[in-house]
Amino acid sequence: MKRHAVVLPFVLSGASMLAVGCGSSHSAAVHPLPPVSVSIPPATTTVISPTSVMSKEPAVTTTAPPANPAGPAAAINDSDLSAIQSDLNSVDGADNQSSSDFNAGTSAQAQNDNP
Amino acid sequence: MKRILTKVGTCAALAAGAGGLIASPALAATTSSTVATSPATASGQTLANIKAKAATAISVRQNALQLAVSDVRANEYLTDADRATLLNTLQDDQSGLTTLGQTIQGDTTVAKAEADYKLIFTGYRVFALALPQVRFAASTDDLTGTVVPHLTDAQTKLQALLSGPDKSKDTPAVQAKMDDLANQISAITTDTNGLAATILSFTPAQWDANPYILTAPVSQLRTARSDAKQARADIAYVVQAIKS
Repeated sequence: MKRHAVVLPFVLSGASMLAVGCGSSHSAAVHPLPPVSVSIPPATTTVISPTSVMSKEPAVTTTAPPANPAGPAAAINDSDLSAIQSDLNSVDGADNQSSSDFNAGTSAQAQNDNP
Repeated sequence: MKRILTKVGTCAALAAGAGGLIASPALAATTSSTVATSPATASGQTLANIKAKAATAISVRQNALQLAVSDVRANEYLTDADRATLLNTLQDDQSGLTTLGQTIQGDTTVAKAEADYKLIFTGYRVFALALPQVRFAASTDDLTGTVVPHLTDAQTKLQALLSGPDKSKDTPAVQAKMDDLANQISAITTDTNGLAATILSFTPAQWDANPYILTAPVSQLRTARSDAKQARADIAYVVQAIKS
């Protein structure tokens, strides 16, 4: 991936950069200038590696989202079918109760109810 | 309860004109040895014998009524209003029989005890009418209170699916089932409209005049139950078609 090719391991050092940028042109032997006191903050080193970069960034997903518009519709469909199944369960329960009540009624009718 | 008052009034007249009780051999034998002072009627009944038989007959009916009360209370498919109506019907009979039992136990003559004893049957018709009334009305209310609303709800949801995301599944066969479903729901609604109230309205006096008084409404209920099964089958067919 292009982004990973750009981020290669390297080291930044404050002390090293100062030496490289000032060493030859500001030598005290060549130019008799008064000494300059330069306060250099402690060198900090930052190491950036592909690994650390990748660990701080979310993984790049190359898989394309579902292009099929039937996806969300199918979810609604399933929900509705579940609700319909719930209706059927209620119908079954009430129908069983209705059957039980009906049979109890016919059983009562079959009993003698005379002195 | 009006129903009971009507029954008692009618049946008291019937009982007054009726003959003596018919005792079972076992009960007659018991009575002859325990009640010596109670004069027997022409049928051989004694006051104690009548009271004992009355207590047994009432107890059997009270137990059956209480079982029905428990069943109605436990029935989760009834509406609150329907449940209250059924419980009132049962509890009125329980109360009436309790009072009648106390009356019989307090009777001092065989003739009065005989007349009151007959009221246990003719005044309530617990097995022939009251319990069937409540049970058949409950069976009807199970349909109107739960079955029909859920059939209708499923019908609405299916129609929405077939008109929208599942339009491709709306084949002629599926549409035929949907049409049948609508017809079945309509038929159930028509058959059960006012049916429970009609069933509960009959009095023992009406039953005495016509013991087949429940036949027509029960037939109507049977048809409605059959229609409900067909409607359920229609829904299952369409659901399967959508899933396939």
